[in-house]
Amino acid sequence: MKILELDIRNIRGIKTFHHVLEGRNIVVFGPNGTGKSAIVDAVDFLLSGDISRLSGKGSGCLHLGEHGCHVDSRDNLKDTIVSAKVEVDGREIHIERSINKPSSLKVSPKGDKALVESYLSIAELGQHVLSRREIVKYITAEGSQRAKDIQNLLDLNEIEKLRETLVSIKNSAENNFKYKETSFEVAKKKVDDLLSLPDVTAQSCLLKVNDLRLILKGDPLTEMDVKKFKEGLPVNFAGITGAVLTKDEIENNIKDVKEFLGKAAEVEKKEEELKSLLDEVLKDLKLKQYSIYKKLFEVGISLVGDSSICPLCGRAWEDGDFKAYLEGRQKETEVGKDKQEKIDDASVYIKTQVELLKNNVNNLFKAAEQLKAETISAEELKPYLELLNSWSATMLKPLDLYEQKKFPVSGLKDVFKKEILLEKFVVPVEGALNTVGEKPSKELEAWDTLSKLEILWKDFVDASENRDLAELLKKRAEACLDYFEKGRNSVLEDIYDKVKSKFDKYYKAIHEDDEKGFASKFSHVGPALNFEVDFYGRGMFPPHALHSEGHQDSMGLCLFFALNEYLTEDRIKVIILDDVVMSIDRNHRKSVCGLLKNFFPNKQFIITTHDTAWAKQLKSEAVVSNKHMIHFLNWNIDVGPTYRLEQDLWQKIEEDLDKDDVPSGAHKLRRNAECFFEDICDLLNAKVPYKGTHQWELGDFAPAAVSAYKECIKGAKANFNKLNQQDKVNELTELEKKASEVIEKSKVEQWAINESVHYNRWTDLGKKDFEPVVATFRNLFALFSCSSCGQTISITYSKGERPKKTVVSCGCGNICWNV
Amino acid sequence: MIQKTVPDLIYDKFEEFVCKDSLFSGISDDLLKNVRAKKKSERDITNLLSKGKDEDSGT
Repeated sequence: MKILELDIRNIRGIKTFHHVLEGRNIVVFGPNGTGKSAIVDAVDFLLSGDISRLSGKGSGCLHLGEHGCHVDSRDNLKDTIVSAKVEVDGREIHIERSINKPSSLKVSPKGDKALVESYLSIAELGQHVLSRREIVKYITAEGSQRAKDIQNLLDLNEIEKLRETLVSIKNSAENNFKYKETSFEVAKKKVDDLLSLPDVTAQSCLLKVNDLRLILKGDPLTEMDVKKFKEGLPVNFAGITGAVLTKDEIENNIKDVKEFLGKAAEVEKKEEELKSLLDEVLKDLKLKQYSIYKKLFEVGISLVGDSSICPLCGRAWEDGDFKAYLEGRQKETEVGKDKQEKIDDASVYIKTQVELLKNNVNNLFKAAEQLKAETISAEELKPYLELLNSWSATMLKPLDLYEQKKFPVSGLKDVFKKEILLEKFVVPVEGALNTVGEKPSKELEAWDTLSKLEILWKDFVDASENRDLAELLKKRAEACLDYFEKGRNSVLEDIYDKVKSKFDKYYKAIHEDDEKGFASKFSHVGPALNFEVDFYGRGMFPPHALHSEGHQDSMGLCLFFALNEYLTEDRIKVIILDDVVMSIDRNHRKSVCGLLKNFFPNKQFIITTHDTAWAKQLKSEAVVSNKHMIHFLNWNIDVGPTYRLEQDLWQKIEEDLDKDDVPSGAHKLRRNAECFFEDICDLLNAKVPYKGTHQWELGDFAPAAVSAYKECIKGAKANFNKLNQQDKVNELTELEKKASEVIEKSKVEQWAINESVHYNRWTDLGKKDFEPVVATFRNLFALFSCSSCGQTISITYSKGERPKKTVVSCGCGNICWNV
Repeated sequence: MIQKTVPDLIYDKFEEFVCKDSLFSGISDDLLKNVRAKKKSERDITNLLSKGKDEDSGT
């Protein structure tokens, strides 16, 4: 999309503005406060429905409705309009937007609305406007802030939200699995305690069930179905309620507690191991990111091969060092992963042990009641159970709770207190069990065991299913997050690679003379985007660390272009550059012109500047043609800016002469000739005599430029002679002859300009006297410019330690003298 | 003609991984729908991921 014609009414500082852009670049220049930026705001508004200057940081109190219109139009928003004739896919379409309804875009013909809107949806990203403010944003931002800004541009906010959701699901799933795993272990232990089985499986339990059924004269079952445990039993005790716990269960619980006491040292060792792992991880938070780093280093090693060139920044490392470095880093990540796995193992182990112990303690408390044994009261038991619960809950999130210093104050040694477990439970219950007398009949006990198994087996099966489901959820949640991050990283790395490669290319185009070996590094680590640049081969640094402001401006410009090209996919061709080269010096601005012209020939630049020299440089470098130089002269609140199209110099002088104002014409000619020949001296590398005052004049520049020009022709002629290109030699001989005449005449005429300016004798000069002077200088200027593209000629040097003059050429190649 | 947004490219990659993994068989379509939906619900995604392998995904 390009703008062919632009109309602005009552927007910001502008009352009315009209310009036929023809899809070409334009420069709006003039002093500060003349309304130039209003053009930027108006185009921004037309394309995006918003004015970026009025949004973002520090603009909280600014609103489009109140501050986007001309200050006198706040009560008449219907008359605040930006409209344009645009070219989209070869079609001419009229579009219009008013601050009255900023989201509504009028499109004519109406049938093209969808087409235009599909283009303008890209403009909503705001990646078509670059101001000094944006440069600062990209270059000086912290990694995380830059990532946020770029995430906004890439529309990644919803992606980040989804990632957070997946992280939350994964964390919950992992905790849920820990919980279900422990519940399963406890349910299994309960079956184990009831049936005294070395290993609880469906098969071993079925054998046990059939043994019990045999006691009750029943047939064996072929499957573990709780509904059939007591089905068809000739001997049955239906209606008789057995003891809460069988004798075997009580004995098994006593045995378990004794075993626990035997392995107290082992569990306490696990506690120490866990705490030491948590200490290590918390000391080095990077370990938390091991998985991201691990992948990065693995890919890095595979890409490096034997070349020792970093695949990210392109820098060569000393032989062997780089791969060894990456392998070392990869091992560090293995340590990280290893630690996390050990933490998980230790916490699940402790949780399971604590839950199992809790189950035993609860059972023995019930057994004590059942056997009427004297033991601790429920009140006394409460703090002990709370301690067990607290350890169990802590083991779900050990790292977070340890970091927050919310670990149980009492260690696991308090859990294994002999005075409670042995003296308050094991000894009294065991004593009571011994005095309780004979077991009930075998049949009654078998019946009672089957009844309890009905409940416990169902719990076990449920716990097993729940654990399997929890494991499935955990695996899926982990895979989901992993795939999502892999997908995101792969897409972003691809984008950042493209952006980096373009950024480097553009930056080198501007700074090839002083930073030949320049390289940048974009690394996407977690949520942050780190951006570093090479500083004269001395290492990689943040872009605003060591480079000058001018270099930073170049970087901002290049990063903007690299992102713009990716984001707009060359569909929005309009790019607004609002006063962006302020810190860039004249020579590098010339390279910026080259960048705009050579790398973006199909874009339409709308450039604003308060620097007339930069505006003129854009013209002399043929980025902008004369008729699209819009000069903003001044501004007042009632009429807005006063502007005029930059006129051709000769036309302006002609106007002066028509008014018989020779002094003005002579002044213009002299000032412009001085600037013109200064440029030529620069472009042809002319030798200007040094002056201690640093005040060179036309009399210094013009002869030096002429002399350099003659040398160029001489060199080109000699070269064409060598190549036997007689036609070129003849052409240049002709030009040389013509040039000599023009140059000779200009020497004669120079007095006129000097006289006029320096000696105030213009009253003696009439129009007729000055016209030949103008004609002579016009011819002289023409010698240095291409009649086709209008650009002044310049000399190109070869690369290498001793650069040599190679070609004198213009922008279009019409003039091309191999010297 | 219309350029894919960066989120779309990321969803496509995600889909590629999910469809290749048998862990997601039976739920992949619904999962992708949920992930691409404008309003994403943590509860819906969790419920979907909790579905047993032999359960009907409901589509």
